[in-house]
Amino acid sequence: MNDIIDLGFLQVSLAYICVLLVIAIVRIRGIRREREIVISSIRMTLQLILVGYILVYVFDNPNPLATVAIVVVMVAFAIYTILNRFKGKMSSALKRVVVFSMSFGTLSCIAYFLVVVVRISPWYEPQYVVPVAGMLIGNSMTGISLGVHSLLDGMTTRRHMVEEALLLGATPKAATREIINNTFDAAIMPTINSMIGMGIVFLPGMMTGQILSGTVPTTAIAYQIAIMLGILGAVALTIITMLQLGYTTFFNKEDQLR
Amino acid sequence: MFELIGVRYGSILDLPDLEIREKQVTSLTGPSGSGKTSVLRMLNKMISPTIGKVLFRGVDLRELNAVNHRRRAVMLSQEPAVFEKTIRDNLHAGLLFQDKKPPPDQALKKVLEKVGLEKSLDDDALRLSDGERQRLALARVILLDPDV
Repeated sequence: MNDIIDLGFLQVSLAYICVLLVIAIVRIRGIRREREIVISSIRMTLQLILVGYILVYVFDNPNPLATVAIVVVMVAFAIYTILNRFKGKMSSALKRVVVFSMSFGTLSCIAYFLVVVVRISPWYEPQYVVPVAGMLIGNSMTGISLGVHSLLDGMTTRRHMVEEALLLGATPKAATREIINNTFDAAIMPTINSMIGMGIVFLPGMMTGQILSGTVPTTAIAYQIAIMLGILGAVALTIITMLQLGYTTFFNKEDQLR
Repeated sequence: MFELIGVRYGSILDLPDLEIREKQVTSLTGPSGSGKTSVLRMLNKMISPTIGKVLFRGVDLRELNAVNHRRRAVMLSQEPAVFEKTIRDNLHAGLLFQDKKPPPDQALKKVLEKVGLEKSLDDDALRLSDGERQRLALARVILLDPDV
């Protein structure tokens, strides 16, 4: 079980045939995406190699500061990615809400998951903290991106409904209730769907990774179940925090639409 | 009941002082874009004047809670939005927004009769014509029984 096949340079190179195949397809079809495909493949390769070396170093020299720094960089990069994606579309108040909800939602779930569920010791054990933080932050980032998209869309296309509700004496909270609920639904749906298909439609990445590296499947499954619930919690907490604070940014102190 | 004193809103409005009395019909006239709707929107605090003040029964609107004020002085919009449900749901909507209990169907039908909208409560509100939507919106406001 523990005989892991080490992938050599040649073997990894062979995997790049997939990239060539995709490039061939888009070229034949005249879809102009060659540049993006090449760049993203190169970026992915370089980023992972770099992270690999960093992780080797960090795992060999566990240090609370280094672990915290890695998690902070992850959260910061996730926030940067979201803000960059909605450049020019978000008010600065909504940006602050995104920063807060991403930080609060992910960090509190990471802490709960590692300290209460997995009970790692010492608390900064990078071998656990880094991958768990990565999964919770990554999924929350996707969730909040969908959430921000749906919220901005709802507040634009349904603006006259919100306005009508205000005219009828609704509080901003009541006036945006439906938009908020629809947004939460849209943002949490991918997570729920992935739980439904899990184990049947696909084997999740972390479990596959653990099994490939020699962990007994039942242990890998226990971890996967726990992390999936952790992801669900982190995504939900991040989105609901964003929405509860976010809708207020569309109104001024006089309860008027901005 | 309403007094507008030295009101300006952005660059649209430069109104002379105006008084709107209770139980009187006041009409605002002017070319489109001159700010008639803006004045109405100021009266129920959907917008606030950039300069000057609006008084409601002698009190500056700035000092009043916007939501409470809108519940007392309800405005009917030119092109009212209809919620994506039945006529009954639309009639309930305003009351629910104000945390009031909706009356039985019989009372709803009476209000529909009053505004001349001969439709079933279960009809889809989105299928109404513009004129019918206006009447539905009027019925919705009547049910709220506002002061203004």
